[in-house]
Amino acid sequence: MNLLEVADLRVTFTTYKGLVRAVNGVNFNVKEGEIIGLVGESGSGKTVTALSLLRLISEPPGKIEGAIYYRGEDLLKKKMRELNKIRGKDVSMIFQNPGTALNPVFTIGEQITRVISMHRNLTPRQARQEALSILELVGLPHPGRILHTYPHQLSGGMKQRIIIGIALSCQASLLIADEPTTALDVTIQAQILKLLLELRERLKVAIILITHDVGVAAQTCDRMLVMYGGTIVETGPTAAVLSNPRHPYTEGLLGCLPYQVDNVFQLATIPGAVPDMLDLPDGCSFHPRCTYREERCCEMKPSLFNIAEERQSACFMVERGGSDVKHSTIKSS
Amino acid sequence: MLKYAARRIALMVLVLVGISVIVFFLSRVVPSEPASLYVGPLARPEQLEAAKIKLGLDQPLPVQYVRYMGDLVRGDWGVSLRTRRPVNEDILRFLPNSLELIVMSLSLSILVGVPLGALVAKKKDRFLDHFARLGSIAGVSVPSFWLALLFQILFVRTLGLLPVGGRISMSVGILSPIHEITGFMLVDAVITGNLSALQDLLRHSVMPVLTLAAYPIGMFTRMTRSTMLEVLGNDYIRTARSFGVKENRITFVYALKNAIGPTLTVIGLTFAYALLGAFFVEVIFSWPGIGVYAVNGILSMDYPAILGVCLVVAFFYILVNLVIDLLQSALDPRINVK
Amino acid sequence: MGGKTIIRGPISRLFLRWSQRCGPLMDDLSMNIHILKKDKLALAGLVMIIFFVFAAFLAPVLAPYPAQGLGESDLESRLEAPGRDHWFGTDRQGRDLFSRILYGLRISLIAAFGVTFTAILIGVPLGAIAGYYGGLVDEIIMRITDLFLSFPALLLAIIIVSVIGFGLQNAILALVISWWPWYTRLVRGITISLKERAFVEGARSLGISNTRILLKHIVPNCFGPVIIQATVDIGTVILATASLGFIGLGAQPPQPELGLMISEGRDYVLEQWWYATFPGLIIFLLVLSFNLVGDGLRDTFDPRMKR
Repeated sequence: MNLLEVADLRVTFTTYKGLVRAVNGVNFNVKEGEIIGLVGESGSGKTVTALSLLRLISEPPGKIEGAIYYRGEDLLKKKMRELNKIRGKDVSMIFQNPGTALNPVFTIGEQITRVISMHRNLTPRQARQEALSILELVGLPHPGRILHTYPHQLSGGMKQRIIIGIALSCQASLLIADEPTTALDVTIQAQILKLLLELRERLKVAIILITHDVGVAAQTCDRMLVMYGGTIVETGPTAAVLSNPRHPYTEGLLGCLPYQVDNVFQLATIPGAVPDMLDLPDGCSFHPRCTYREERCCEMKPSLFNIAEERQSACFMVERGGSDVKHSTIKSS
Repeated sequence: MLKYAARRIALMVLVLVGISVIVFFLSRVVPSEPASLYVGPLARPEQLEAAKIKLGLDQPLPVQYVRYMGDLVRGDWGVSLRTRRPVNEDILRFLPNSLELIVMSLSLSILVGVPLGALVAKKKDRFLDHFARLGSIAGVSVPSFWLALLFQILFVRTLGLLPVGGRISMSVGILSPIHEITGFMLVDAVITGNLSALQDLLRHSVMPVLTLAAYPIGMFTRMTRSTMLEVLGNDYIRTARSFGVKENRITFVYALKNAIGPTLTVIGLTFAYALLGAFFVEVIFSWPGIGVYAVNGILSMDYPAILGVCLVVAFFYILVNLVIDLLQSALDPRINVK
Repeated sequence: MGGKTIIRGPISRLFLRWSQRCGPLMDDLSMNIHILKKDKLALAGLVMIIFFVFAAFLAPVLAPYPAQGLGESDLESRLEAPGRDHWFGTDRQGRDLFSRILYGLRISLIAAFGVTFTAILIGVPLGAIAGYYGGLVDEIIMRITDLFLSFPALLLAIIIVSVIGFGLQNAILALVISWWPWYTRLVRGITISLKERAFVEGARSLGISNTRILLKHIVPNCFGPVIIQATVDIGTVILATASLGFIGLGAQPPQPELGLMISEGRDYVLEQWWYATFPGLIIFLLVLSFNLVGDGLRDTFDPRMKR
């Protein structure tokens, strides 16, 4: 059984301007101990997808439909009280900006032990011990001292380590990490990613890594899901997606990477902008920006076509005969 | 922390001096002959001259001011032109009553307003929120002297439940008098275990306290609501949710501790209102406080009394705001760093 | 600052300017107007204000006994309960309270608009100058302002009236004296934040004179917050005028001032309940309507309130 199975997830927001369709029928699954990357530009719906997995979207104005099975149980059908027992214990989430993610008026110790004692039956002393070992686990020096500090006394990297520590303090089996390194310096970014990889090895925790940075996903993820316009447009093992993208959008996204300069068919940027979620284009939502656009792309929405084992793409070119998206002449280099 | 407090206190003294200068010169320059008030309208010119010398009014203004300030520091606040008693004695006698009224009202307002504001922030845009909004704006808009009269119509005329005014019933004051220890009647009644007096005091307090609390309750509810909404939008609230912290705990512990800082500032500012609001409430309920003393002083142009009351009011106003600032830095660890 | 004004009219333009200060251009404005339209309490307040202004304006026409409204007494019908002849009853000199209240509305509204407008006229330029020039000018203006602000405004007004003499005009003057510093502080804060903005620096680098920048760029941008503050202040000044009247420092008999009427009715509160109740009710509704509108505006346009 998969650890997490997301089936036809749809998220909409009612605003005064109209209905915003942020996520439009997303399907994917996560296996135990696996790191998958949810990649896309900002506005592609990846953060909303992540937030809705733990129902962290306020309803109303938001509305989550579909099903999210965690170990076979649908999280969307659970009551808030039951959900709160899963949040932080089985499934945890960490966010983009560690600077604002910790409560400024409580000490680090108070914030860690609060979560531990909430989910595990421990005495205050045991909880404190546990907090110390967690801080050690995430590689922080002087854990005893850190317990008594307030968030504003620590650096961004340290705070992110602490948040990861809290998230994993109750042996969570799934960690949802929403852009965990974006707000950090490049050197710190690498350290945090390394930490995530180490923790996966040691705690066998599965990670959903949400990022706009294909490079980050390439370094860490086993599998990649590429999102665009609130849908998944391509999935597959990281290496396969990177070396052989099967959707024009993925191709364009890779073209944005600096190390692709030697590619003959080089795309510096993808022309156009992410679609307006209030008014998604008909047909394939990428068609206004797509260089391979055909007539039917403007009218019909391509579904995800299987290409190989765990390899899918939502492009009509793939359906036609499984041939490469990129014309062989271009790709041959 | 100590340095900060010292600087604030120095600033406070400066402001007090400034206020005393303004009030002093206003009261000496503009009115016609304070001395004639002292001797009365039928006095002969010689008596007037004598009174001028006695009150020091024959000296140049700056000399009068310096002399007044010197006396002030030595504890001589002048003699009230109306009661003919030393102003500081009068103030000491009336102030405790006012402070009790204010402390009771503000405590009630904090106990009601802050949790209510947190609650309605949680229920944003629901019926309770709109209702509380109308209620709190109404509380801020209602003239206290009119509300006091409405209470009298309701509690005295219609229901016949409460005494019209005063601090304590004459009979209770005679039958079970309160031994003065602190000068605060409620406190003294509690200390001496004088239950019948305590009950009577509380019965007399209901209407004044409710009247004076209307504005602060509205203010605190509104302020707590808006700061809570701001705080609830913060990332760390989402983080707490993602870790499975229960909503009630998030609202009343995680968020409220962050929201209490700005609310404290409003509480400090509201104290000023309460000092002044007490003037009107005391007048209507014949509450023997500094407000009645001040209003009578103003109406009879009793300048030493006015000046004394002003200084006391300003002193408390500034003192409370200082305490609030210090409290805030104790509650929010980030302030200490600055 | 290149927002295109789609919606016309001075008020909406003011709103636009302020929302530009707050954040994105038209997006925000249409959202603000949308929120404001949905704010039924604020709309109710606005309707009440319009109603009261009309009632005050038409007082001589609407009042059944205009002469009594201005002070003529009718000792035959003293302290009559509300009825067909006298909707709100009569006072201790037999005057029709309904007529008195209509005339009282005029006093309250004129005093409140007058005080607020004058306080803005004094406070806004001082605040803009202090914030824009900074340095010694700022120091001097702000220390004086601080001194006024370290004292509750109404208490200051009470002291001033007790010194310059009782009466409605003196009360209004005293309120002006104690009210302007609030605008100085408000406008100074906005000016300082505007000074850093690109359009002001741009104007300065083009060699446009300071006076012109102040008048063309700084002051207009303060209008939004000032108007919101003023809306609430009008309510507060109504309350303050009535308070001064109530303790006998403001309007003097036989002026039909609402606070003074309550003070007169106070002696009869347990027998003739209507005497103090109706004037107070009108003050309450008047202040409430201004506060509802002010609160609605503030909530809508305060960028911190949006999530």
